[in-house]
Amino acid sequence: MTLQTQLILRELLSKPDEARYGLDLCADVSLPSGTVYPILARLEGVGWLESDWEEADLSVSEGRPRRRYYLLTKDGAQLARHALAASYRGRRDGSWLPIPGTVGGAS
Amino acid sequence: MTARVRQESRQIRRAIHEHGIALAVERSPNTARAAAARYKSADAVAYERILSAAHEAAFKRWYQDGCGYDLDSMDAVEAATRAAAKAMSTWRLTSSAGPGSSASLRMIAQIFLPAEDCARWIEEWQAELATIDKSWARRRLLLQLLFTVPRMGVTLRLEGVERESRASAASDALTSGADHANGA
Repeated sequence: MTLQTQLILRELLSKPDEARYGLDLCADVSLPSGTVYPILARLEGVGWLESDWEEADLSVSEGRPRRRYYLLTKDGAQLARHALAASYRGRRDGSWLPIPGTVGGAS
Repeated sequence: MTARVRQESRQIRRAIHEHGIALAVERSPNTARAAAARYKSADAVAYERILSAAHEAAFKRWYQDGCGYDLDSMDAVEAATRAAAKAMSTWRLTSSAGPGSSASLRMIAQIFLPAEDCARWIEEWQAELATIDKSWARRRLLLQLLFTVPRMGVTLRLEGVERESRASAASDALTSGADHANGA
């Protein structure tokens, strides 16, 4: 799992019940959109995240287009915690290099 | 060198002369690699060039088979994207996140992203752009997004390939399970 993926998962796990939108995440983890969106797409693809459009009422009342919000799934949160713990153990043991074939490594 | 190796060397040299290394190797990477290895001691430079071209050809073939994506045309489109982004950084599309910038993002996304995902990502990014007040910040995000698009295209296509293979594996498992049950 890449360090960028870990950063995003850690950020999402800090408020696991709060839906976040892409730009908000980019600002919070200080990563460019070119890094964050492909990771979100990959995490969504493997089922760790789910995404949905916000309610039209809210966006209309604020006079802006509707945003897409991301939320960790129940299984995703569990798996993310395990993955982060495993990568922490890996770093502590010195074997911190990513495993080949797990680029963006959510699987 | 044996007569056979000499003959292969001549063949591959002729192919390189006639078609260029990349094309010659692309036609048959493994044969070219093997032939090159045999006459390595005779022509080290040609060996290195052929080996490098063989790796490139094998990678291209693997990539195109896996993603259904033509790497050469992807390079061309990526170059076009960079040119478009460079043009945007000048006066033409810098005024606001109005129709110009939305149109450029939509155009690039339609080239790179799979058709079934394209509308969703365009809408999501345009919504993000629309919430930014300062024009310089909007322009910066727009440039970032333009460079995001090719990578998103690859990510989504690989995701699609993996999804299909998972579905296929699940279907195979169901079929074999049903066969097993019928047999029992």
